Amino acid sequence: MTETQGSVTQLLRRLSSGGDAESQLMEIVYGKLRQLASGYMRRERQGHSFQTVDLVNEAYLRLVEQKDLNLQNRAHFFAIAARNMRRILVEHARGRMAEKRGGGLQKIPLDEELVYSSDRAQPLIELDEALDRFEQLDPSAVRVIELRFFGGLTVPETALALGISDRTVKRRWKSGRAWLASELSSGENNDTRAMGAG
Amino acid sequence: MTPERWEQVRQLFDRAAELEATKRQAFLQAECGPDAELRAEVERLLAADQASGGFFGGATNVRTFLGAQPDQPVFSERDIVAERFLIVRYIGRGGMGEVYEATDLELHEQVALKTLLPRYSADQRHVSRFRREVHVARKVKHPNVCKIHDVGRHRDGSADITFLTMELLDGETLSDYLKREGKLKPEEALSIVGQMAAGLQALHENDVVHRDFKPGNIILVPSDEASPRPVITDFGLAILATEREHEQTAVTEPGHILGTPDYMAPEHMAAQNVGSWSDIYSFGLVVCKALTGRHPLRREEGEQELQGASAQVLSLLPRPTEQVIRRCLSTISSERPTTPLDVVRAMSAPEETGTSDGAELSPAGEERHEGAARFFTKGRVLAAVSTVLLALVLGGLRLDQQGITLGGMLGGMVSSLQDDLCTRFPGEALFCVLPPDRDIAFQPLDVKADEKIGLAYGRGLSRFIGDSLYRLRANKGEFCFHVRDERQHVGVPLVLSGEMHVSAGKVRIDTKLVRVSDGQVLRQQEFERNTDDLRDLHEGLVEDLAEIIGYELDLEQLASWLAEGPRDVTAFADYLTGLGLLEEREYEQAGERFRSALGGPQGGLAFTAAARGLGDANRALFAQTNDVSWAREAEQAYRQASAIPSVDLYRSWGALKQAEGDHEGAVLQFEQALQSDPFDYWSHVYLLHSYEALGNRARADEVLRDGVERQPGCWLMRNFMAKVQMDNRQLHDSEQSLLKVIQLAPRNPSGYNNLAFLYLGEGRYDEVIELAAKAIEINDSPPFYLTLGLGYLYRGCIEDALRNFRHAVGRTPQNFLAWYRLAEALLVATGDSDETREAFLQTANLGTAQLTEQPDQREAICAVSRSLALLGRREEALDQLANLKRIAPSADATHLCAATVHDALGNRAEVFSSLRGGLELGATLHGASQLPLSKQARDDGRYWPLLEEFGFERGETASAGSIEMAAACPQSPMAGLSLH
Repeated sequence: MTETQGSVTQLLRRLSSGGDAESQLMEIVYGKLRQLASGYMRRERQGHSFQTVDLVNEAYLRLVEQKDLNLQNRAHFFAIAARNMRRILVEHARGRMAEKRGGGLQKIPLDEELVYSSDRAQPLIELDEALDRFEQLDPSAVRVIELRFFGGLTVPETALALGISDRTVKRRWKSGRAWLASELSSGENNDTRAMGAG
Repeated sequence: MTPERWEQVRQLFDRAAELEATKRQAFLQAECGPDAELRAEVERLLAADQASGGFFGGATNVRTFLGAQPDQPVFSERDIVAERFLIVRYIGRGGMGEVYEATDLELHEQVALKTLLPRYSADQRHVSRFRREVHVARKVKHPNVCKIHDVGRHRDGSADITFLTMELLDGETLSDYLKREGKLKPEEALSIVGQMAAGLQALHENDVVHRDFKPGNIILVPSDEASPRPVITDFGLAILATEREHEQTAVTEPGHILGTPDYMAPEHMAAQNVGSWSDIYSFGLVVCKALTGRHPLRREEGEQELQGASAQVLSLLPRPTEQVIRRCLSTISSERPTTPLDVVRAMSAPEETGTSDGAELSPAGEERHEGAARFFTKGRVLAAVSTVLLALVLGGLRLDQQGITLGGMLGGMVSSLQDDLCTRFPGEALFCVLPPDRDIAFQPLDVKADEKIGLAYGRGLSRFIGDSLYRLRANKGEFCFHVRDERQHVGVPLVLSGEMHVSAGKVRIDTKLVRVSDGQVLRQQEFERNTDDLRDLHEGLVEDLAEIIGYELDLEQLASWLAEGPRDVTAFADYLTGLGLLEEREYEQAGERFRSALGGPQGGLAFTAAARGLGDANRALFAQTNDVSWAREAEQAYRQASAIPSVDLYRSWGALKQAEGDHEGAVLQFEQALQSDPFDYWSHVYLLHSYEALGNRARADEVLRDGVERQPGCWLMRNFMAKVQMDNRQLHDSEQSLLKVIQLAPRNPSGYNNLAFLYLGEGRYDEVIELAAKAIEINDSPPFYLTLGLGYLYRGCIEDALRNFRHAVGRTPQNFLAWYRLAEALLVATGDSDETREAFLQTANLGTAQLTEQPDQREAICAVSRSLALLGRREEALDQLANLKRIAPSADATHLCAATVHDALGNRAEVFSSLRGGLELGATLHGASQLPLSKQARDDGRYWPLLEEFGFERGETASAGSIEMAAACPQSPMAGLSLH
């Protein structure tokens, strides 16, 4: 067991018993995920199907001493990991946008060719902002979306991670998705934007 | 939305989503009850769920989303679409299609081509939405509204793609701009907001309701002006306000709400009564968002949820703006400002509180406006506003011949100053050089000169300037009328006026452009000209004045106009003096001047304007003397002028033919006039009269329609149409026309007064009273008191009627009609009293005098005839009646008039046969039942059965035929005004 593994496991336990460990966990998980993300695909052969869940799982494997953790600890980890994935991806997107405008934000070094095409950067940022707004209305639904969308978890995994029923996951997913869809499609970026300079 | 509210929405959504689609409506109906907003929220979610299958095309995880390759564009560069459009580049993709830049190979211009993807092109609903978009958007031509050209279809093998072409706008959306910059730059904000308002106004004026007005649908096109030009796009959801409700909803799916909830008015969300007021709501939100960078209805982080608009966001705005935006966001649509320009105007109103010196902000003010649109604060604002308004106005006109609705900007702001102007120059003429929504009245300059010839010269010069401005603008259809006699009825927002001092060898002109509403002088300029400098006087002066009103002269037009001008200054002076003498009705002297202008050393035949002037002088002499030799001389002069023909020439020539009774000849001339200037108001009117005189009703109708269609925004033409329709007893059409007149020129009293008259014939007296009062409120003019009095009279409120008639008589004691109205009312109120007799006597005398000037004025003949009959002057009365029958034998009014005259003469049988004749010719029942008839006639056993035979129902109205005293008269709308 590495030092990090031990500390992450302890932190997760502390979190589960109501202790204040979240920010520390975030810090560690974020660092690990970022490191993994930037290097992960480069080592693999072309055409590998990149999955965020792989990243999260690998981070989990590397960061957590599994046998010492119960399901709840595991759920916390995935929730934090998923949120971190979201953060990493969005930061990368912002970096791209800034670069496009010649801005000075540091680019998060993801292997973009495999990660995503550049024209998805702005929608991703918008999704992120919409999620922030949705957080004010329905934080539990945002957790579901983060786990499924950014964490790549399945419905049962999500249910397990959050300690809710499959049915609730599906419902939260459906209503949350609808809210976001209407928020994003109706927002201010429908087809007329395409008429702009490009 | 609060988390609690969301919880409520979510639960309903969860349950509804599990139901079959067909059962959802009923479920929501039952669950939401009267809470339309709740229901709208749930429906919005259901629609979003169904339409997208989730955000980002149904991606269930970020990988699918991120890795998803965008579909390849359907067309590639250099493809030719529908054998006409060469694809230049792919611009981007929207929800249901793609946008390309393309070259129209037929017209050789760049267009934007918006496609509907094949999978949507197959769906008829989407295609018809697309077609509607073209149909609706094409009604409006405005620099701030995206021009939609056409819809087309491209078939290529299996591909079948519907597309539309529109103006290529090279810019970004306001939404993107705001995302990047946060909010509008202060120095651009007012102009951008003002232009958006002008665009939206143009839509509304054409009955188009956009229904999806939001930052994403506004494109900011960089321009040479200080600020970019915002252009309203995307008419996919637009509807016509004139469409019936079922047609409106047909475009939308049942249960679906179209539009963008963020910027959608509550009544739209509730799928209720959507109209221009709904766009006003959206406009208010957009303005707030654009100025503060924040959406007032969206909860920002850490902020308490508010009912309605966020006070915090709104308080970032300067006070007047805050107040008007609050009104825009009212849930009650009738409390919102009526037009987008009303909003802009209110924004530019000075703040009520604060220091008076303006330019400096008090510390408190500084704090209050922190981070907000500080530029809108008092003092600086006022200056900024007038500059910007002018810049807008002038810039707009330069930008596009359509222009920004200049008058619209300032529009409808008529107040007492106009009356002042009219009374200050009694007898002078005003004429307008722009259409009502952006009209400017040119007030003939107040000429001061030491001697008579100088005065005539000055008046001629003033008329020359006005005519030139009219003419140079007219050819473009940019203004519709030219008012000389309707001075009192002109509801213009801007007046160009001034003084002219004529002295030996010199002319000094002081002009100012005055905003009528508050008397503010927007521009002031002084010119001094030597009377021996031809260029300076001729085109120079016109150019300068055009510049003041912000009109750029078209060089081509200018050239053609100059062609008919003089070659030497003496000839020009003669010509101007001739014009002035025409104004003074000194026709023979005027003729001499024109002849002299034509015979001048280099004036010669080339000075065709002078030849036309000579023709006009001779024509006036012909009208005055009825001596045909003058008509022949006029004809000869016009022929000479035809070397360089113009609309003025053809119009004058046609008028001559008309005066000679040669309507076929007149038609030829007027048709030519309209070819030369398809927008000329008077040519339309005269031509119509000639066709009517020839009995060619169909062609007359065509002329009328053509006039209206060419200038749909021209209230005068439409008003005229309403009159013709009223004469033809097409009452419903006439009512519609008048409602349109009111809509086009809401600050012009004519529409209200005429509609009041129409309603008078339909027994809608309370509305008559209301409309007439409205006309008076706009322009306190005696004729409107007569209408008001008639409304009261038939409503049974005799005292109110008498008061109004007396008021009109007091102000216009020379007007026979005012006396006549008073006389009939007195007859009802007091019977055969001295006062009654006096009033009828005045009517007869003044009416007769009127008839020597205008022998065929039917209203005067009838009034005189009836008055004479009541005064016992039987033979004279019958002479007049015979005269009327000769002039208009088949008009229902002639027969009704005969009934009143025979009633006064006691010829009972004639009364009833005349009444029958009138009714058979189409007189309205109310019109017939309101005839001033003696009590005996009404009590006659034949009276009611006759009316009933034509469908009259007794007791239908308060007056029901005889003027009975109403139990309760409506509170006088004029209560606040003191009548003498």
